Formats: sequence, structure tokens, C-alpha cells
Amino acid sequence: MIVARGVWARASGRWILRDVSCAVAPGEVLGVLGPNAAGKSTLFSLLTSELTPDSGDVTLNGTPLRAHSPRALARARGVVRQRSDVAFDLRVLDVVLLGRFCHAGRGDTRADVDAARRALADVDLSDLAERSYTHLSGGEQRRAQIARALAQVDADSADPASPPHRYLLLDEPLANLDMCHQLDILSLLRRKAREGLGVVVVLHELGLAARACDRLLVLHEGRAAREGPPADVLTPRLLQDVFRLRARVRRDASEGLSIDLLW
Amino acid sequence: MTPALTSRRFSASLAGFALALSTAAVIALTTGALRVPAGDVLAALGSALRPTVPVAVDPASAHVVLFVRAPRLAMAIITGCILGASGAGLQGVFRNPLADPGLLGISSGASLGAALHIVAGGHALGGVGLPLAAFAGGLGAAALAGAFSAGAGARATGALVLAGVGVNAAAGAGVGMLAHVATDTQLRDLSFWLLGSLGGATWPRLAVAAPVAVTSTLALLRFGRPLNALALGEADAGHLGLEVRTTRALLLAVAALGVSATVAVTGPLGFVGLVVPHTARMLFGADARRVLPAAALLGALLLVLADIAARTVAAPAEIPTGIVTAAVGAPFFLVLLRAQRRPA
Amino acid sequence: MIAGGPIGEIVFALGAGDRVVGADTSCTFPEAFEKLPRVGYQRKLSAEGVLSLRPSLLLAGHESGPPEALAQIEGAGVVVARFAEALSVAAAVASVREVGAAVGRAAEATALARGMEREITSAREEIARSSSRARALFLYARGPGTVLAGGAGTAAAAMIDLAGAVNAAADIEGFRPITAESVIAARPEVIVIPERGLQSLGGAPGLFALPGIAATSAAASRRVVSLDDQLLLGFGPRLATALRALAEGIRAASPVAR
Repeated sequence: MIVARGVWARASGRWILRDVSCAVAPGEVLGVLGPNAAGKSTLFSLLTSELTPDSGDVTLNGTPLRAHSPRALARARGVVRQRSDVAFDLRVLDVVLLGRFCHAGRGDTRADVDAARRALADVDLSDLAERSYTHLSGGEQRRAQIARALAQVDADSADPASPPHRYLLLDEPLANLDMCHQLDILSLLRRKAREGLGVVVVLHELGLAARACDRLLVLHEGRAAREGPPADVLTPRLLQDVFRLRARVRRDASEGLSIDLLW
Repeated sequence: MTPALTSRRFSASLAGFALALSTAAVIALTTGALRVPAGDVLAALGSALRPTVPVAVDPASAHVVLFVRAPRLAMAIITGCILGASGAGLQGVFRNPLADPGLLGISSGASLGAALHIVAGGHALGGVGLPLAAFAGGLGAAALAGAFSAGAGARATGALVLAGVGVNAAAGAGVGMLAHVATDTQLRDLSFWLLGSLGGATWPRLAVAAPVAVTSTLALLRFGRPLNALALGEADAGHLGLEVRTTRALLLAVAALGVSATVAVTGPLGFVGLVVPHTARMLFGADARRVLPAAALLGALLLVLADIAARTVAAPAEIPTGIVTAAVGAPFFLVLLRAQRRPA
Repeated sequence: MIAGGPIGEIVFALGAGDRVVGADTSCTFPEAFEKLPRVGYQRKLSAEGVLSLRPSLLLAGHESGPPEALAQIEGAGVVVARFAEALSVAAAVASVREVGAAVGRAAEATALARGMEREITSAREEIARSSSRARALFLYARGPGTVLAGGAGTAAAAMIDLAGAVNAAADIEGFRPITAESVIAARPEVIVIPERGLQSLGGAPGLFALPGIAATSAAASRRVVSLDDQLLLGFGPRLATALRALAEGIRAASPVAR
């Protein structure tokens, strides 16, 4: 489990997060939602240890984040940040292979290359493996970064030193993607969760989040507005209060939750 | 660009460059103001290996080969290697293709050390006094830049660039100050030193500089994969499992040590640390595991060739090697910049 | 092989010029040097460049270097004879004898040295009779931005003293950059400047237009003495000539018409 317990975070004298708790277990997808400036990215930074909470703590598999070495953390979780630019002209495959940096082969072994190729196939980039990363489109770069994180927590090539429970953390992975690839990525995340990964994903798209996530955490002005299964969280009342949207929420036995915005 | 170079082709290219370097080395040993037949060069080298066997080579020729050309050649190779490799390493750490060893203040610090030694009278410790002063200056400047940027946390790299600018400016002011109070002859000595030359290479100086420079070069070659990780940015490199701060500090220390050791003997040799990694990247792609060894080899090749030119163009006088490297490097660099701005 | 202008002058004065195979760029007198191979500036000799001319002897003036190159040249079997800087009449004469010994012309050197001593003595007697004790400021210039004054311990100071004048910059040590204010404070009545330096300033008009200089009595009366660099500072065989010319120049106190 990745667990955040009562975390507070401050930036330039202002509280960005106030007493937020959340948890993700292996096998489930946790979606983090909220309007702009709700604190989503700050929470994400706390979960990825880019920031440390002013109060409260974050644990991974029962141990505080700071007690893990960078390499041990890297083996336990892959992170896809909102922005990732590659300074030099590396091949796409080389970028994805960097996900294997924390493993025994350091990216050089057959198993590493296999993991990278699998991850590229997962994000539909196999054809571009030999291309230069900087020449990809924004969406393709995003998918390459997701592949890189997938290769990092790949189950089949995990060495004995890797922890049994692994996680994938993604900050707005759908930005810049066309609809087709947005759906592909979300279904990929669901599949990976079924295979045993714990997934935390920061999203903007309410409808997609409702369908793809097992649980949702809605942040509002730095606090957790509600947390739970999508059907319990995304009520017309909450959409009105937090997102200032008038919407009708329909529950469908086969397709799950769908949200119709009212103009 | 050819980013997707297979390892076999890469190894073959490296072997090609090694061959070119060997050829250049042979040319360096056999050409110069003094005409020494190739056979005599061989005989002289042989006599160095087996000193007890008498050889029939003119002693002046033998001396030129063994005590003038050979140490210069060795100095050119180790200096080129460390400048190329550290340039590649620093560009990787700073994620900036315009970074070079000068950025840390090494060259200007070494210049300040040399200027102090020259103006203070310049005869302390005999032949190694000046290099030692320059070495201390270079290392001191890099340490100062490092100290000023420490504690900047995640922004340490940016802070280091700025600290380097500051240290460079301060050292430049110091050199200017010393140049102002220097006597005419000291000023000439100083300005010759600032132009950079391999002419000061002697075996005793090499014995001091070479172990440091060679060890540093070999250490830098091991940073290939961490540098690739850093290409994704410090945050992402951290998520990949890299100890970003330790890696950065280690690489900077190794580069500062190696470059200071050679700059101390040669004076600043412009553009090698900047242009050579660029060229390596254009030839072999951006993978740091390839760029580092390629930059080391290319740096050595460039300096050996530059020094041949420096020794022969104006013979029997010679021009400072630094002028040759800058004269070749600067236009090459401008052309490179233009080529890069053109959309691929 | 010669590195150092004054040494070269002595070698030729001793009649050994035909044995010189090369020289550094500071050797300008006599004109025979124009035809000889040049090995660069004396402070930045290239060991191999020197050796390529196959000398058996290198006469190295006090400025010759760098020490590593001299050591390499010596290591190749070339005899390197080093000479100290001559700042007095006695040292100038001794240099002649030393160079003579080094090139195997001891007898000629003795004759030359005697002649020098004789001439210098008579020159100094003349100077003593007519000395003006004028305050003279020696300037070394390489363009208007690089103007150094010749303080105590320099060849310039020694020459001014021998010429019966007072060094206006005696309170500074060696050649130092000089500010406009300190030029005025030195109260020079006459400026002494090597010809090449004066040319670099654009002649006498340029010199007297320099900040500070313009406000001195030397500028008011346009008094400047300009002599060939090596004649003035070399302490070579022409020392007596130099002294006479310098003393005459200072005494004449006339604007230079070049």
C-alpha cells in the first residue's frame, strides 16, 4: 500500500494541502480529481517524495518514503510526471530502457530489453522504438514516458530484490493525447491494476475517471472533499459544490457511471 | 543525425578513431622544426626502452624526440581525453550542450593561481611551482562554486551555473588586477600562459599531472548511464533510482580534479571541452555511454593535431596551442550552432 | 644562437656575427640580424625550434625562457650560457668579457671592454661638467592604454642617473603603470621614452596629450628625449654613445622634431 496520513503542505506561507489522507492498494486504480489549484499536483509530489509534508506522513509498503533508498523506491514505483523533457537526442527505446536503471541488469540485459519492448507495445509505440525521442509529438512523448514507468515496474522481469507490491503514479497522463489513446491508456492502467499494480492517477476528465477508477479522491481547496467508489463520490451535489458544474449523473448496469453536463 | 548506431558499428568507429589517434601520434613524433628521420625516431624510442644498448643516433635528435616531442604528445593525449570527457560529463549534468569545464571557474581559477605565481616572483618550487599554483587555483575555484551552490537543493544545478559565473568574474578581476600591477615581463609571461600551450610539458610535470588526469578520465567514463538518466531531468532521474545529488557532486569533483591537473600545465585550451562532446554526439547519438569515450578519443586526436600545427606552422618559432584550438574550434562551433537551429 | 638583444650586439661587436645561426625577435641591432632565422620571442623559446637550427651554443640573456625550454635545449647537448641583466657600467663591461669568453673571443672582448671603459669615462666627465640635474621621467609605452613608468632598479633609472639627471619616478619600484595624478606629482621636466614607445603613442603630440603628462612642465616646454630602445636600455657596447645622446637630449631641452 501507499498511504498518506493526515498530510499538510505549505508553499510560500499558504496551506496548499490540509489534513489529506488517502491510500492505494495493489490491484486498484485511485483517481485524484479536483478543480485547478485544489492541491492535486502537491499531493502527487508528496506521494512521489518530490516534496515532504509539513505534517503527517507517507508510507510505501509500510515504511516511510524517506526510509527507502532511491533505488529501492524506483523498484517499487514508476512515476510519470506532468512534464518530462529529454535534454539530449536519445532513442525512444533508450528512454524506455532507463526505466530499468534501478534493476540488476541496469538496462543492459535481454530481460531489460524485453521489458522495454513489452512496455512500448502496451502504449502502441513499438514502431517508433528506434526513433529519436525529441522528434516525437507531445502525445507520443507522453506515451513513451508511460512506457518507461511501466518497464520500471514490469512484473515479468522483476529481479528478486524488487518488492512484491509495486505502483504506478501518473500526473495527468491523458494531457495531449487524442481520445483514442486516452481510452487506450486508461484501459491499460486498468489491466495493469488487475495484474497487481497499484495505480494513482491525477485526472481532469470526470467521465473517464468515473469509468476507469476503482476509487476517487476529490480535492477541493486543499482538503479532501470526498473519497470512495465513483458512484458515491460523483454526485450532482458534489459536482455543483466543487466543480461548479450542473450535471446529471446516470448509472448504467453495463457501462457504469456517466455524467451529462447541463448547459 | 544517426542516433541508432549499432554497438558493432560504434565499436568499429571507436577503433577507427583510435587508429587515427595512433597515426597522429606517429606524425607528432616524427615531425617538427628539427628534421629527424623516422628511423632515428624509432632508434631513439628504442634506446629509451633499453638504455644500456648504445645507439648511433645524433644526441640532439634523440633528446628532441624523447624529451620534447614525447612528453608533449603524452600531455596532448591526456589533456584531450580529460577535456573531452569532462565536457561531455558537465554538459550531461547541466543538461546543456553549451556547458564546458570553464563553466565551473576551473580555467579562470587556474589562471588566477598562475598569475599570482608569476607576479609574486615566479620561481618558487622550480618547474612545478607554476602548475601547482594553477592547480590549486582551478580546484579552489571549482570548490568555491560548489560551496556557493550547496544548499540550493533541487535547484543546485542552476545555482552552480550562476556561482560559476560569479567565480569566473571574480577570478577574472583578480587576473586583471595582477596584470595591472605586473611588470612588463611578468605581463608577457602571464599573457603567454593565458593563451595556453603544450610547450610546458615535461616528464616531471607529467608525472604529477598524468595520474590525476588519467584516473579522472577513467572515472568519468563510468558515468554513462547516470548521465542518460539525468537527461530526463533531475526529478525523473531521481524516480529512476539515481542518487542525483551524490552523482552530480561526484562527477563535478572528478571533472574539476582532472581538468585542473592538466590546465595547470597547459594553461587554458579553449573550445576543446565544448566542441568535442558536441561532435561526438553528432557522430554517435546522444547516449552518454558512447559520447563519453568518443569525446575522450576525439579530444585527444584534436589536441595532438592542433599541437602538430602549433609546433610546425611558424617554425622555428611556435604559436601557442590554445590559439590553434580556438582558431579551429570557434568557427566549427558556430557552424554547429547553425546546423542545430535548422529543423531536423 | 642568441636570445637577448644586447648579447647579440656584443657578439657582432666582437666580430663573431658570422657564426650566429639564429636569434630571437628582440635582436634588432646590427641590421645583419634581419637575415637570420627567428626563433620567436626570447621569453617563449621553443626548444625544438632552437634545436632545429643546430646551434652548439645558446647565449641566453636574463629574460630568456621558459626555464623548461632552456633545460630541454641544454639536455640536447647545447651549451647554454646565461647572462645576468647589466644595470651598471661595470656590469656592462663585464658582460662583454663574459660573452667574449663564451664565444672564444676573449682578446677582442678585452679590447672592446677597454675601449668602452675609456669612452664611458670621458662621456661621464663631459656630463659631470654640464649636468642639468633635470627631473626626467622614463615612460615605457605600448599604446596610450599601456604606459609604465621606469622606477628604481630599472635600466631606465640607471641610465637617467648616469646621464646626470634625476629620476622623477624614483619612489616606485620597477616598471609600473602610472596614473595621471602620479605623473603630475612626479613633476617631470623632461620625458625620456624609447622610440618604439613614442611611435605607439602617435609621436610627441600623442605623448603630450596623455592625461597627466599634459599638465607637466615637460609638456609645457615640450621636452622629450627619444632614443632607440636597445641603445637606451641595452647597456651594450654603445653605452657611451647612449649616455652622450641621452645627456645631450636632456640638456638641449628642445622639442623633438620627429
